[in-house]
Amino acid sequence: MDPYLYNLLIIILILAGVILIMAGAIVLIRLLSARNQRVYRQKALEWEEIFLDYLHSGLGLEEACRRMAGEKRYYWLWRFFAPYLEVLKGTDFEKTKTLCRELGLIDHYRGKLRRGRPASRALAARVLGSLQCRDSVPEMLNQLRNKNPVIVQAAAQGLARSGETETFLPAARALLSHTFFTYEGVTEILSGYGKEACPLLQEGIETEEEKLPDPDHLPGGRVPKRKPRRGETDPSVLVSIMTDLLGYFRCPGSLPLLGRLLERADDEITVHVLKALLRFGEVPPDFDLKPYLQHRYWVVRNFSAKTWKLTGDQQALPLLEDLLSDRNWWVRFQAAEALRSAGRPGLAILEKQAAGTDQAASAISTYALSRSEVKEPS
Amino acid sequence: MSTWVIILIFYNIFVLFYFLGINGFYLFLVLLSYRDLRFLRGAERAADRFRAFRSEFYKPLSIIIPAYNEESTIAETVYSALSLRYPEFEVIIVNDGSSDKTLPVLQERFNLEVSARDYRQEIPCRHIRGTYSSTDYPNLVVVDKVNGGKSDALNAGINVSQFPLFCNIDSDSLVDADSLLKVVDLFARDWRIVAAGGTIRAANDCRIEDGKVTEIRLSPKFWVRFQIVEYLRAFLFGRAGWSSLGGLMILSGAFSIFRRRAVVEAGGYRIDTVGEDMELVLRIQRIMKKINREYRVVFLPDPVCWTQVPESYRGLQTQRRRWQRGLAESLTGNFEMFLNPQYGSTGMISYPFFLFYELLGPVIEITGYLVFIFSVLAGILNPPFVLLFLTTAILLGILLSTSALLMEEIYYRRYPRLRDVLTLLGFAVLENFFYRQLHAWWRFRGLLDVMFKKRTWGTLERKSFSEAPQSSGKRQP
Repeated sequence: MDPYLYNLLIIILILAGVILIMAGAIVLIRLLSARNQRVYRQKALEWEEIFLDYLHSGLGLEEACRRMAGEKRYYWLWRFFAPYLEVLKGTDFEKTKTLCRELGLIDHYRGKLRRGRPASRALAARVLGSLQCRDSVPEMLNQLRNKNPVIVQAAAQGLARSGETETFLPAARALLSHTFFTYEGVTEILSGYGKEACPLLQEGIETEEEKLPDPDHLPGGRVPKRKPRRGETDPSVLVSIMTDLLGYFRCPGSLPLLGRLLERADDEITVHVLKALLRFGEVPPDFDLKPYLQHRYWVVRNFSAKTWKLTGDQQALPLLEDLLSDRNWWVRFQAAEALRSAGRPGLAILEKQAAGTDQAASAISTYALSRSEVKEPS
Repeated sequence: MSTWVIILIFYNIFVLFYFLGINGFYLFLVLLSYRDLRFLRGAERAADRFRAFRSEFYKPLSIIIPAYNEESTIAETVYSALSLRYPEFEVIIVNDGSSDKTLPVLQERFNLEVSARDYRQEIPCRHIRGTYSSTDYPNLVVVDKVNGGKSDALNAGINVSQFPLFCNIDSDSLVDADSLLKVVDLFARDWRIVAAGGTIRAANDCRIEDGKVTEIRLSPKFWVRFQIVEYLRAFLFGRAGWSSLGGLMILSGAFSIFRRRAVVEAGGYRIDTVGEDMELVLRIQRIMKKINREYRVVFLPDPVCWTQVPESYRGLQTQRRRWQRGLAESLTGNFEMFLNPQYGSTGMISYPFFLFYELLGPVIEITGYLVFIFSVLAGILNPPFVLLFLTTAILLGILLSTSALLMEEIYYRRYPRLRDVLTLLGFAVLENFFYRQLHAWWRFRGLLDVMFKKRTWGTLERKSFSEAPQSSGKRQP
């Protein structure tokens, strides 16, 4: 046989062998997976009984451990405990955590967090965070420096769940400087710290505020836009995110701080302060909305129009009327919504504009009026 | 030695290298996607979807569903869209001048009333006759417009949409409940992402209840089974591999999410192409590079959109010819990217690959078969070599499909019965004996359509998710 034919034949045999192995693997995986699922379901039923006895019927820790021990597939244990950890509080939570520790779950995932593959590290951070495992906080802080954004995200989420509020700023900085997370994404992760982070947020804003440029010495009266380098955190962004969270948690005693932030002349911060005020449902004392309704940045005009409902300032109605002709649709929409909520005087303005010649103002006014006619869905 | 013989020899050598190149690259994509799928599967275990669902910080989303003569499927599609798990979204159905009862069905089933909803005409589109809102579902909007084709309908939907992200879903498709959360999560994790997409799977003969796929069943239909194997291959190692390489050029028009601003800046969907999905993805990349903005286009294999794939020879042929035309139009319309290092992997790897292997592939494949036959007849190639070479080619084809099935089995395991998976394995073998050749022929004819400037969408079969095939319509480009 010619050598090239012989080589081709060898290649064919190898290919056929690989295909057969793959086909065999498909069958094997299916059978093993079915078996594993069956075994897991069976074990989960047994564990449930033991666990509930341990929580409520006086079954001791040692006995519960003895009856549940021997399971080396820690992911199964995690799968079993995860839904309980989401809902349990107080003593029950602590008892569950102790049981998980005794079963080796915490040690296993701490090891994974240090040395596992990227996906295992991410899972480990989630498990340890859910168990509020404070002794693994240093390891999770280390993972914030990881190059993989999924691990950084999981570590930040884990830290947030662990309840260690002191880790808030390092987590925020890591997310902002080592990943490409959007501000919303970062805020979402940091919201996991819960209301307990309020004092730290207020303190953090005050600290970061000192790094912001002095509003009295700004060129053109506005903060220049600067793209932070990788590894660097823009204090303005950090303040904006913490402001968002102040509003999200409705942290008590924050209104004076928010009022002060408005004087910063930083467009981004102003937007977030207005968003926070909307969440609070009130405005700081002596708050004057009018300059913001005439702001050069459309997002500020948009949120200030939304904020009008909180002030009910009748003197601002002409400014809202002007905004019906704004070049930005969202601003027009929010101005129309504000006027719609202003009762008779607002509706009169909308009716006037609906019949007017300004096409944009007329369209948005007609739309707002049609919305006031239909019953608002609950 | 005559000139013809020399040409035949050179062409044979060329085909051999072409064959090695395409299969070698596919195997490389398999390895890349295997690595990525492994990581994604693990990362999914660490993700907390329940928390994400409750989040107030996720960007709100507009779901745009263009509909043309979809009276049989539209209600189920709308119910499916309305039942998605996502914190804040609106569903925009664009009735693209349907001549059947699409609009009356919507009016009746969802209690529509005329809305004075204002919108911004940021992208050109044909006249919008009116917008409707539902008294039952406050987040449902129906746009009625003059017929202008799918792209034009999508552009109208984008104009009416209010949110920073939009998702387009075909009206004969159903999205899994958590799919949106999974894809939008990518947008939250990376501000550079301008477009992202998920996997498309065949919904034919699956059990559908209340607009959701409740039981995944393997269709008994011959053509559908080939397509299932094909889709697994295309998505699980094709798109996943390209995404991993940073050179993704296409997101399925049946299910993809875009950053609205990026699409508006790119000028929306082009109405003069049948490959509007790929063309838009390429154009966005071009525009982003021109305005010097960082961008990423990504694919996630887990979020699934179920769609009805053609069940007949004719329907499938029409679809594939159209896809090939779309590919040609997209590539020629964005030729600037070809071997342009500015566009990174997309310009240097994906574009040349798509041009030489995907676009010109059918020409080389079909002429390759013919030249092989002539070469054997002329005594240039000896029959044992041809036989062994063809066997190698077939085995490589089977290997690629089996890899996709193996990845499906390791990471997703959507088909509940082993029998179904084994049947698909059988089809992975069978497809190499005539489906592959037929497919090359259809694509070849698609190229002829481009040359002869054929521009229609052809006949599309439409059937309700719970009924037998019925209406058919012709979409105007």
